[in-house]
Amino acid sequence: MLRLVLRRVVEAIPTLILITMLSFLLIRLVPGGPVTAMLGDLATPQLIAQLTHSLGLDKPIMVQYVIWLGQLIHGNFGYSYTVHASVLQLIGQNLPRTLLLVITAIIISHVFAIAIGIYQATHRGSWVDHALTGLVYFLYSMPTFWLGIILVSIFAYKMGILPSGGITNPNDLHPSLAALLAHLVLPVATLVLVTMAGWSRYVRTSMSEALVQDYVRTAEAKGVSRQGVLVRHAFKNALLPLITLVGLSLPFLFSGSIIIEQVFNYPGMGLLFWDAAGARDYPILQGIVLIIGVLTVLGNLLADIMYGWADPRIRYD
Amino acid sequence: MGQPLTAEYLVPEAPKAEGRYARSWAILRRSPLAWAGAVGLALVVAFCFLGPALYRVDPMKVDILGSLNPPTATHILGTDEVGRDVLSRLMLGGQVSLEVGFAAAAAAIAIGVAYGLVSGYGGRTVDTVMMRIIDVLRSVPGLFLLLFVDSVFKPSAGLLIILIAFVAWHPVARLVRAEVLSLRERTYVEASEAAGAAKARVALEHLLPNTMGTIIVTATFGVADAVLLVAGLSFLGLGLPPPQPNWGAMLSDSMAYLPRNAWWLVYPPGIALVITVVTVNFMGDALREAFDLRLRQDRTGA
Amino acid sequence: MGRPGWLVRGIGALLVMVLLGACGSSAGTAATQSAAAATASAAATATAAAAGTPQQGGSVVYALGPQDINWYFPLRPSAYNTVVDSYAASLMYEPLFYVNSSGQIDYSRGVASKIAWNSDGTVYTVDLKPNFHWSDGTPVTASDVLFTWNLIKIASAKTATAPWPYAGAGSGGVPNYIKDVAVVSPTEFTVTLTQPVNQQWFEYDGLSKFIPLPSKAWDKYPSDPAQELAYITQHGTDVSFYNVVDGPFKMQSAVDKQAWTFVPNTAYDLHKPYLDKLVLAYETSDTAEVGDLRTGAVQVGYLPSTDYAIRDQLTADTFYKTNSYGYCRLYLNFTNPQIGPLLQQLPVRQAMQMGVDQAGIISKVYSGQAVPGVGPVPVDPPTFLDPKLISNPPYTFDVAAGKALLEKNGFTMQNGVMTDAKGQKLEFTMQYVSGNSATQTNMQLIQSDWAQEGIKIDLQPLQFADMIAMHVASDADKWQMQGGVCWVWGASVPTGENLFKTGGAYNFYKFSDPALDKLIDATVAPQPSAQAQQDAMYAYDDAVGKDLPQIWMPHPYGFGEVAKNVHGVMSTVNNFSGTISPEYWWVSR
Repeated sequence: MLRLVLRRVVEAIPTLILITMLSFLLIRLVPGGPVTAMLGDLATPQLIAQLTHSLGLDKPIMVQYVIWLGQLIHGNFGYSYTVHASVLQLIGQNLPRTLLLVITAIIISHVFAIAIGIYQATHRGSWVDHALTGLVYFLYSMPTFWLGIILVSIFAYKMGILPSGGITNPNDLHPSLAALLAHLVLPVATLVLVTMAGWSRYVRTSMSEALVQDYVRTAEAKGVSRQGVLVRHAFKNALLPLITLVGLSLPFLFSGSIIIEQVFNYPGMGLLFWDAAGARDYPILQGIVLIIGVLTVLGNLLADIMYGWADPRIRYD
Repeated sequence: MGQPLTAEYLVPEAPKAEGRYARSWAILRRSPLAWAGAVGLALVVAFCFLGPALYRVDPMKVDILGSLNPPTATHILGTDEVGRDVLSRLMLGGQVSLEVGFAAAAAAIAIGVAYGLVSGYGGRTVDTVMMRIIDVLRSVPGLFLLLFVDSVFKPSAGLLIILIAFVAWHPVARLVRAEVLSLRERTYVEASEAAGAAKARVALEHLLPNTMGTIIVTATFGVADAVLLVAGLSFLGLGLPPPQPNWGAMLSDSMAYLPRNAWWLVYPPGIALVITVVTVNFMGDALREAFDLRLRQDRTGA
Repeated sequence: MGRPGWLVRGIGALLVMVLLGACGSSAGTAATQSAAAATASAAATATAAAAGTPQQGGSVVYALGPQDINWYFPLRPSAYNTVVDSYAASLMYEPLFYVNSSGQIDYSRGVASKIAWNSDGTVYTVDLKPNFHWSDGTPVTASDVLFTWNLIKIASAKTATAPWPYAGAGSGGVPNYIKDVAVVSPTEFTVTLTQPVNQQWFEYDGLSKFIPLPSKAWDKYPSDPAQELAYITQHGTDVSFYNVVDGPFKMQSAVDKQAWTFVPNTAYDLHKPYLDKLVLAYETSDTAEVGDLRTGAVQVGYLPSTDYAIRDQLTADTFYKTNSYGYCRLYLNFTNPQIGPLLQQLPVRQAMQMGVDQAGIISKVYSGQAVPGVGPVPVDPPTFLDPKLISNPPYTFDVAAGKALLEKNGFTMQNGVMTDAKGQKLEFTMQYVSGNSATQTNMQLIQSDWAQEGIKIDLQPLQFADMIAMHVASDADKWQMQGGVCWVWGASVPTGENLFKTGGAYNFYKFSDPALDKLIDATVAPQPSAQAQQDAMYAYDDAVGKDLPQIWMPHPYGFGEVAKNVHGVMSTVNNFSGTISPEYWWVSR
């Protein structure tokens, strides 16, 4: 196990360099750099030249990359072009908020997905199974923004019991935990409804397959209870695709949360990323890509470790 | 975990190819789920591609003074914000959405399965390199690629298919690889290898069919994902440019008119999306029940 | 399996659909337009008047919209120059003079008491109010203005590093026309120019930049301007740096992308605020802002121009109209090698203008809440507008006439596209800013109407950053036409020296008409009398409207929403300068 972790850490470095380099290049190839985005209508050629030079953007791309890498090694993530703050400061503000939102949603989705999937697998063919399938398909086919906007219009506008967005009430300088939770309910609910629908299908499938495996039937024949069978044998195997999915999900925190954060006015990484992309704020974008890269590596490592535990048949050496 | 004593263990031979598929088709033909899905999807396709021949209203005709009108006799589903007929746009938009959805999913599946098979079965070095490549590709934000492509090229359905497939094949590859890693330790695979079968043959005869369950579920979700992705992109302003309609754009554009209770703009594209996704999933379920060998209760000989 | 499984699943799905569907509908009705709007604003003023005497205390949250405050210092660099940045500064620092909603200077506000100039327009003398103080007790003096001027100079230099140079450099003659700024007495200073200019133009566009700054508190490096600038840049968003103010409010706290909180400046010499607390709140989008209005999280906000129909749903708020001093248009790229020569033909531009259904757009897209575009001089408030342009606009919507005009000028319709003798087609790519439903609707309408005249356009929605980059690029074939953009004059005189004069600073599309140049020059040259000034302005106004360097589009009104218990907002709306005056707002309990 330790060998696996060490190997991954070593492999991570060239991976991260490749990731950041590719992103660096790609975003600079998009026409319209940060200078024209900043200046807008008032951009004259002299102003453009002046700002481009003082931001170091007239250097060759690879030189700019090396400079960025050099600063990074010293712990300097750069300074935003559009917000008068350092990238680390901005990420430090926004990342916890997104983590709160997404981790809560992931945990709740897991619970629901596993519960629904196992129930469906053990009651395959019953009308409850079919009804749940119908519900799950319906939820899965709704675009996230549609679901979010409808939930807001019902619970925030019509019924007025939940806030329509944000993370706190602007008037509230010291928000209580209850207020924070109230602001989380709708975005988390939207994420959960869409995510667990998909996951429950995987659980149902793998559980169904696992339940008809010979070793399960053998165990049952030996007199092990259904519960025992489920927990000890089928469950672990059924978990495998789900674990992979979770490992995959970690980096998608940002692309997935962009729409949720837009709809719910939630000041997290998705919004930071989206605004920075629109303004071509390279330092912020680079910082976020680095974080995504790190999360990708971590996510893979997590998935592979869980795999190894869940299925001893998989060998890594 | 010891080896269970079953017939399979004693005679490590995989089920014969011809018999296996014939039985699957038999199951499929009798499944009401398959019929419901197939008929439903056929209706959707007919609506989109044959509908315009029956409902001859110009989906592109602009009439600003007649905009945002609720359904009438001449405009069965009302008019949109520029006065165009919603029903005919729903049909035309469906053509684009279905084409993009299916083509992108097919491309993503094809690439993903091939990649996953090779990576999972090809040995540790190959696996490591291939997985790291996926990591790199996955971590470069698709948004950058999208912004770049959108501003340099004129976005078209074909371009969108390529972009979606480019982003969507990673999870497929990962899932297939995971399955393969687990499957290659199975007795009949080892037996086959011991008997001297080429790796490609083992992959195609044993690994691929046994990952069918996951592949089919992934494929059905893939179609749904592609269509929904177009909707999400339109919401962010990055989809196909007007005036060509597609369900995703119609849905996201309609959000601005939701407070005005323009239900004829908001619900039709949403319902069309739901029906398409649901019928595709019905078919996917049926296909899986028919072809997923690991679900078969009866393992001997067939 | 008793019941067929697929049936149950289908019904299940349907049931859920119906459930959510029923909950989603609401009974919103679109009211009739102008009558309702007129009564609404009349009722608003009546309510304001009848509201009674202002009460002390209370707090108000003001929605900024999807704009972040990134700079608090009153001199703004090019990188941080949004209107919300100006709000933060204007709450804390009193301007040199205040321009009211009709475009006139109101000396009851502002630090200056009098502005005079010589007949040449070369020397301007400004007197400051004698008892104006900083919050630390020291008086506001002419030396403070000199400090400002020194900062402007160093911040405008070509060597200034990011986020500079100063955003105001190059407009209003600042700093290039200024020869000298001199302190005559603690309450008087003079500005001498290198050449004669139009006095009103310099007053509004140039002199307005000389906002007094607390030199005693901030001038740490009097002999080293570059270091002083660096010192100030370091504290651009440092709340504790802004503790010496002369405006009605002081900043208490700031949380990026969330809220900026202000409390009253108890030492303010003019109208002290009634409120205890003012919060400027960031919103991720217009939709989020409307949501906050509905739930009451925000008391003073705006309604996006396309949401006019739902104003009745905001029952806790009063609706009122605002208007920014600006105009909307389509850009034409005269330098584009492929289509530039086509655009340079006036009949082509005229046909385009005649294909813009302004009445239709105003009535259906903006629900009647917009004014037609007749040129770069805004229609409302009509301070600088030639009234003839309203009563007798040069172009009206007439697709048949536009088509005939093109045919009379050497174009024939081939395959639905007007083609000239040389085989050049009137086919263009129209880029526009994505994400705005009104813009998207307008573009599709124009596409359809122009198609009837034989002008074919291909729509290309883009992100704002992309569009602007192409607009200013030296590579001329990056764009052909651009739409969905409006220009805001703010509190400046709408002259065309930067936009339309040959070689103008923002004339990226290289429009050039020597006759128009002469008229533009007349508007920025010194004029002997106010009447002569107006005549010069009107002459330019008429000519540029006809000359069509851009295609004029309707300019939508803005809509404000104020909570019913908040007063003083509507009566202090300033459409000319776009500033807010929260020191007059109060909450009734």
